[in-house]
Amino acid sequence: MHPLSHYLDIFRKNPDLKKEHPDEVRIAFLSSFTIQGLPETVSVVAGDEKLRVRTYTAPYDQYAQTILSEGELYAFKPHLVVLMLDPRTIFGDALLDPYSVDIGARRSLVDDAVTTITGYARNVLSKSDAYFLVHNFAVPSKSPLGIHEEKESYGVKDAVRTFNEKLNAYGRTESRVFVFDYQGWVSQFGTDHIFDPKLYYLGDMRVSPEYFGELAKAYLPYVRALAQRTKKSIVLDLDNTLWGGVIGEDGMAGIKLGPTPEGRPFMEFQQKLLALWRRGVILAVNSNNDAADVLQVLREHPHMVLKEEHFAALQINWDSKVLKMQRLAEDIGIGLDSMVFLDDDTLNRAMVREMLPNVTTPGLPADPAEYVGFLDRLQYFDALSLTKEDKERGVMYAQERQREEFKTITTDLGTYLKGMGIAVRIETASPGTFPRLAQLTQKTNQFNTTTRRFTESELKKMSATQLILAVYVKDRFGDNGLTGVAIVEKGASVWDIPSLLFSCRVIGRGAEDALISHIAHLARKAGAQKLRGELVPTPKNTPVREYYKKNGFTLAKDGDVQMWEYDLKKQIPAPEYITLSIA
Amino acid sequence: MSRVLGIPENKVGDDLTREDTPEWDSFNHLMLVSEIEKEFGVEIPMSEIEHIQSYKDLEKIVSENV
Repeated sequence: MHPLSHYLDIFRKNPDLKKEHPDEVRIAFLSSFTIQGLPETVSVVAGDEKLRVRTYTAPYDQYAQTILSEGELYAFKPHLVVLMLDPRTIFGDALLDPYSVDIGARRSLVDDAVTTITGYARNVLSKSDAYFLVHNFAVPSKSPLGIHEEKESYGVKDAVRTFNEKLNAYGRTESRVFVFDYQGWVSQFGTDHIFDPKLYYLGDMRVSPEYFGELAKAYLPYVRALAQRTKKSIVLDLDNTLWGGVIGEDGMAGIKLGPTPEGRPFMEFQQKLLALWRRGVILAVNSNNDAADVLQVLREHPHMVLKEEHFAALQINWDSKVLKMQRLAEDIGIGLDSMVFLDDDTLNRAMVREMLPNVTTPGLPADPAEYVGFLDRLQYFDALSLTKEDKERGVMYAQERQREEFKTITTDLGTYLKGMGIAVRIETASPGTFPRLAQLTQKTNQFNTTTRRFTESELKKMSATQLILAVYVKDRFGDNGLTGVAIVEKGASVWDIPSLLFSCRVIGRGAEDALISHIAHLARKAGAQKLRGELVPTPKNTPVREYYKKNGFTLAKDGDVQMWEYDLKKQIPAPEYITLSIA
Repeated sequence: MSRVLGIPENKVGDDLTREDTPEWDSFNHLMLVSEIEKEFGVEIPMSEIEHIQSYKDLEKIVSENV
């Protein structure tokens, strides 16, 4: 842990941290007490990960005026507005002498506090596109009622807990509101450490500046999500990472895995990994071993928590770890920059860091006892909207591997595709799908015609004048859910497609062809003569480059922004093997 | 002190006073006291914090409280 001056010193000596930057994340801090130095610390801590954070700090204790006015907060165009209040501010003297007022008054203090804060939130949401991050309150650890405190309803602790619950309830109703679990953060370090009475009395500091570095780190998952640096996958080594020992030497009976002092850390590590898989983190294996040895463990070891079905791809051979990483990225269809690599071997880590700097390669602790805690702190996987599709993503990628295997069994592609039982549903996007659609536009790089990013509110505005189509793809191995989007501008004689994209895990199965065929059909029906697709080549979107050409479009304008045109005298055929439904 | 106040190390010495050092504002003063407390393992009573006006004052208080 570093003192505050450490961060401020770096901030002072690094003029780059203050500069505007095109991919910066702008955070506004509002507080009822002194947080001088915290915004700078956030910029420094984020800078360690090459994340650019520029900050605005509202004047001391002027959070309400700042939110309610039209002034500088909104001119700053924040991506994230952090509101940190504390019970002293909200409950006033009642916090020090809670039983001076009766239960009815205590209840209305809580209700009023929730109403006030949700009012601020609504204000910020209506006046900006920012996400609103509100701190909950640390529950006081002492009470004048002593041992009877826990029996008191709306007692001082109960009141703060109730306030926190109500804040959460509000957060669940607004997709752009997040509650920062300040209570959880404080309990990690302890109230006695976080709060320094001298600094409070002399400078109205309610978080000791000694902990600003830690607090800044706790904001990082939000910054990563806003900067779209969320990771999608964990690539795992096996020997001494998922189990203790070396399978090739110790054999299945000799490796440490299971309910013994030496085996439990690995077993619990796997359980935690499984929990991440369940929320949508893709798992893969990168191991120097003979595949047969490993498959035997995966299939037969009684305490192996992770099974074949949890891994989207397995690279188990004697090629270099670097080569295997690249193959995994290709097999899974994600970029190296969305992978986190966990390996106990420092040399392997150094090699991957050196050769593949885009892969995140944190230092796994030397002692397996620390693995679980390490994984808990590895907060790289949070997107701002955790959708149903996210939670099922791990499952979907593992199904994808089974599909690929199916592809190798059936040799003829046509027969393969027929056998896949692909069903595509295209519908005009309803507002309920906008969070997922926004997320798709923000995350998809490969099969994306123009790589335009949209937020939920932008989509909402656009939906008034443009046609937004949502595409769902299903096959015999499972449901991929909402995985494709097209945005269409309906002109009288020309229809334009400024944006069209598919999640990489469904491309190549004809859903994209079914979509363009459907758009052509709609345009013809409306009497348009021409369909025009825009294509902006990027280093990442090679899979989409041939898309319009393949579907009979001709190149009308070449360059950085290409225009592809299709004469609507003829319909674009849809793949025959697809079952198409339109809603 | 140099790091907290953001001043060159050669300026930190017996001549350093709050009055002549614009960087030594009230916020930096608190940060200085708090980091010195941690560094030397001392507790400086609140009533004395405001009376620290110079490097010499600080040195005296730290040695008294060690």
